[in-house]
Amino acid sequence: MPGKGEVVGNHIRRLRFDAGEMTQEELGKLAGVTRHTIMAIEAGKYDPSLLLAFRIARAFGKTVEDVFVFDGGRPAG
Amino acid sequence: MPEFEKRAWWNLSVAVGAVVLFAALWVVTRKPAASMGAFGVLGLSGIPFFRVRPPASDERDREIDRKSTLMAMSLFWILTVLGVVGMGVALGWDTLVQVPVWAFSELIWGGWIVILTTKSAASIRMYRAG
Repeated sequence: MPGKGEVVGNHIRRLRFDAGEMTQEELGKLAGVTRHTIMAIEAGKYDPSLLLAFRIARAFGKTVEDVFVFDGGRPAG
Repeated sequence: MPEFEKRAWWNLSVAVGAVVLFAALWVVTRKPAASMGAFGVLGLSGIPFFRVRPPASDERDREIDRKSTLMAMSLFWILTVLGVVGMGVALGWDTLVQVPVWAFSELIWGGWIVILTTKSAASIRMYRAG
């Protein structure tokens, strides 16, 4: 879970569009989750696990950092 | 609406329905022991589990389930401790009291209702929040 001032954004909406208007249902099937979870991630209301982030990235043929962006906060340590 | 949110709404309706029915029966019959029959309605909370093919759950469903269970059990634990300590402090630890059996039975039903209601309401809130 992100800390104060830390935000995890994503480009899922754009990537779905680029993938020929892939539906949330289709992405959910590829990533092994429900459409509702994809909706929550896309809206920035739910931060996926690392495993799910990799699955979503793989569904688009991209790296995790192409899909998700980490914004804010200072490096730990 | 996610399948598990529907299940939470169902459980919340069952819990509220049981309490309302219990209160109505108590008012009508004036017999709390007989009115407890209303809590049999709580058995309906098991209906969603009788599906031939259970709905698939993913990591978000499991996280919401874990958090809502933790909240429900925490509240139940706090109420239990407050009840135990409160009774001892208010009545005196060595005081002898006479209570009808239905009062104990209702405490057990009440505990179940607290857990069911809190877990359902917390699940719904988390699904709504994202």
